[in-house]
Amino acid sequence: MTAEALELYRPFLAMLVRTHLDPRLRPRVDESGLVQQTLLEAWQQMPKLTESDRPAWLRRAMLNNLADELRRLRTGMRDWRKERVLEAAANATSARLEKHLAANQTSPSEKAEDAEDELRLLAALAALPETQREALVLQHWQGWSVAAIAEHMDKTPAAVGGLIKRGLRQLRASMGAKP
Amino acid sequence: MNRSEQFDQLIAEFLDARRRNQAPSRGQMIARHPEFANELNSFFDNQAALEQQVPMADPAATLPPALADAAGCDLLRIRYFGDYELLEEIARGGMGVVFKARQVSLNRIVALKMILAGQFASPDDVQRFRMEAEAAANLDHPNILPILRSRRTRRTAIFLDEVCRWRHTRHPVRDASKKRERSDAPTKRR
Repeated sequence: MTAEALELYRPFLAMLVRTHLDPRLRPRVDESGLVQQTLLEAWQQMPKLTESDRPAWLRRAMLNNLADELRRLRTGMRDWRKERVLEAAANATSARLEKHLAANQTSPSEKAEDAEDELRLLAALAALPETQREALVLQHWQGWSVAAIAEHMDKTPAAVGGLIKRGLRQLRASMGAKP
Repeated sequence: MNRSEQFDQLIAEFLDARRRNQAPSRGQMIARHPEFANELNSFFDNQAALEQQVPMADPAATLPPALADAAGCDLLRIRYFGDYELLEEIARGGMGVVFKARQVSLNRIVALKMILAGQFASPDDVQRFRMEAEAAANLDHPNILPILRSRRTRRTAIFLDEVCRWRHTRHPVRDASKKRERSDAPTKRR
């Protein structure tokens, strides 16, 4: 594998972080730095990785790096009473991520296949218009209520409903187009 | 509100009902809103396609903004919890939060561990929490704080993790937790 081949995974990893991270924590987390670090680790591991192992390995390394970063963030936040909301968001994101990592202990071949599927899904997600993607990620991946998303995005609940509806439609269309 | 906005509003309401596990089925939705039958069918198809690959986030593991505020202000909002007066927060993890507290009836300092997700905890979370309490209760080691009691309240899934050895040290809570962290004993628990 060349560095260029590895580079192709950058948008996938960026979107993976985006779906797992509470948006309120974005200003505190160096997303592109984490992606860079993961790609660097992959580069060092390259001799050991077969091509089919790559997506699953990258996915897991990325989520582990994000989990580590959140742990560091939470330690630093412990005494900042004013930052309770962010801290709660960090705790919730962390808890969900740990649960997700623990739940994904399937067989290696299954894992490789799942990672391929997820890669395609995240690529389709990345291709959505920004507002549709934001609404859909918050609703489906982050589990927010429509009311909370509406407030966060400064839109009406109906407008958010519309964004999610269109996002779902386009996501399915682009997934179906690339079998 | 035009027809398209009405439908988007309907979707918004459905998604929130679904989040609370109170959503009507596809059939019920169509029966209630036959004028949107086509739109509803394609919405449900699109949603099922995504759901098949990535299940919707479990709201039990999620803190939306309003709840996050509440969780962040535990100590400010709740000074008393049953027989316990909350004094300060000692530590917080993904699963739970530990308070230094005074057991009012016995006038002693204890550590109170609560499940963070409270009433939103899934049965799995509660089970994990209970197993941790049971496992820890069976341990006996100078660096492990003994569990005195655990229980579940009716409204919220909360367990108590009580400690009595702290009164022997100068800064009971902090010293005890540091000692525990430093310990390399194989029985160290997380």
